[in-house]
Amino acid sequence: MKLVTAIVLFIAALFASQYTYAQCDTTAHYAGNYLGSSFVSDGQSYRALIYDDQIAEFTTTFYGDQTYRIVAFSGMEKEQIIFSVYDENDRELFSNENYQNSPYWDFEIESTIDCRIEAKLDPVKQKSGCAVLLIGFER
Amino acid sequence: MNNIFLLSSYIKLAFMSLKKGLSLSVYLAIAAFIISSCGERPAQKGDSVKDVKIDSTKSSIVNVSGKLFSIPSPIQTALLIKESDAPYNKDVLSNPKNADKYTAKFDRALNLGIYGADMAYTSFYEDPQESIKYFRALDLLSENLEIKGAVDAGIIKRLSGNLENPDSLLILSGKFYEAADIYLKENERADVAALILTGTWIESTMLTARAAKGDNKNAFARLAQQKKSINTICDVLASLNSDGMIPQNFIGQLDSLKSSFANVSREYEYNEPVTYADTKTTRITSTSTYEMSDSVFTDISDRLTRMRNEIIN
Repeated sequence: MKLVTAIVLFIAALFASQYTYAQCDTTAHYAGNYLGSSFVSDGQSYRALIYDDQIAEFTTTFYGDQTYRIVAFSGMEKEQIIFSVYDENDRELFSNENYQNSPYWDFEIESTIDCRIEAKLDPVKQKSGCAVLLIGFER
Repeated sequence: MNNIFLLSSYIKLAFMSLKKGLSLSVYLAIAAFIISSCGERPAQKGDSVKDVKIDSTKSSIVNVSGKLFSIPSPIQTALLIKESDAPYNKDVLSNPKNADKYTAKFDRALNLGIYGADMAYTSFYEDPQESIKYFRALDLLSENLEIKGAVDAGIIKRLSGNLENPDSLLILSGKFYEAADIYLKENERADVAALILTGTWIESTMLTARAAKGDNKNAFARLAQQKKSINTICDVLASLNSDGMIPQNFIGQLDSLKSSFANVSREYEYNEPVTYADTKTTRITSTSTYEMSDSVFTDISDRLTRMRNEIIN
């Protein structure tokens, strides 16, 4: 009996790992659609496996006189991820939480600034999953 | 290794199972996880994002190898150079015929980044004949670095067919870099990914500095704004150099450049952003002011040029 359980768990673990990759790929595919044709990817896209109240965090420089689009997506449904943009003094500049967790938002930058972006799952909608963030700049 | 949160679940399961006397099962499950996570994942068509690592053991704040975010893409930097009205000068670009001369992984990765920046530059200035040469160099180095297979063949085909169309080239180049970036990070080759980005940054920043020499105030300002990027590059490369692939003298050169950029002063002023919900747009009105003296500019420019010439020769 123990051996059967062991084999089942072994196979389940193998599938779980591969499923995680596949889940992120699918999520990324959905996220990519929100960049549209007028925004060009910065050549990097970002995925995080977030669990419970974990927060994915990163910094970026937004250049002046440019318009950027941030896309945040988790799972296969939109509006499951909350992302916020902070300035270098940790002052909140924007949060999609105030706009029904909109999966994307555009930022017109007047002057070059360094920002910090945080992303977390909306605990009401999702407990864990693959979060994908994309940044594009307008052509 | 991006499945650390899954691992934590398995560990929880392990404790539960041990209590129930199922240790063999648990060990096998963990072994399966490790086997499937640590093995190199074959390059696959259609991969479109990179991994971000989460260390759930440290805190609820996850710093997502995110420092790489601060390195501007070659496409964006080429766009900024073009927008600064700098005149086109293909003579300063790296020679694409040298692509097959780079044999070390370190040189290949840096020069792949440099050629990518040059391809974007020639494309923005609508010089398709030169773009084709850089595309071929890029293609060769991608193959030599064993990352070409990770990029959807459709992207390569469309790239080669759209070299005369800057708009298409932009989007396809972005996809190309994205796919390569993902593949490298999923396969524990983040050091190579970081070196490619470093190469693009060095080349595009060198081109910006050359443009600024022509009394171009926009280019001068863009150069000063790279202060954060060099800090990020130094931090990222230092953290990824566990196997010593990156020579110490290269790290030293970057540190010197970082010291030069430290002499660029900067002041930040917060202003209330304005949000237009109907168009899903926020206008960020805060300002950063950069000051760079002529001597600091010359120092940065000279160091950049020296570094870049050592990389391409």
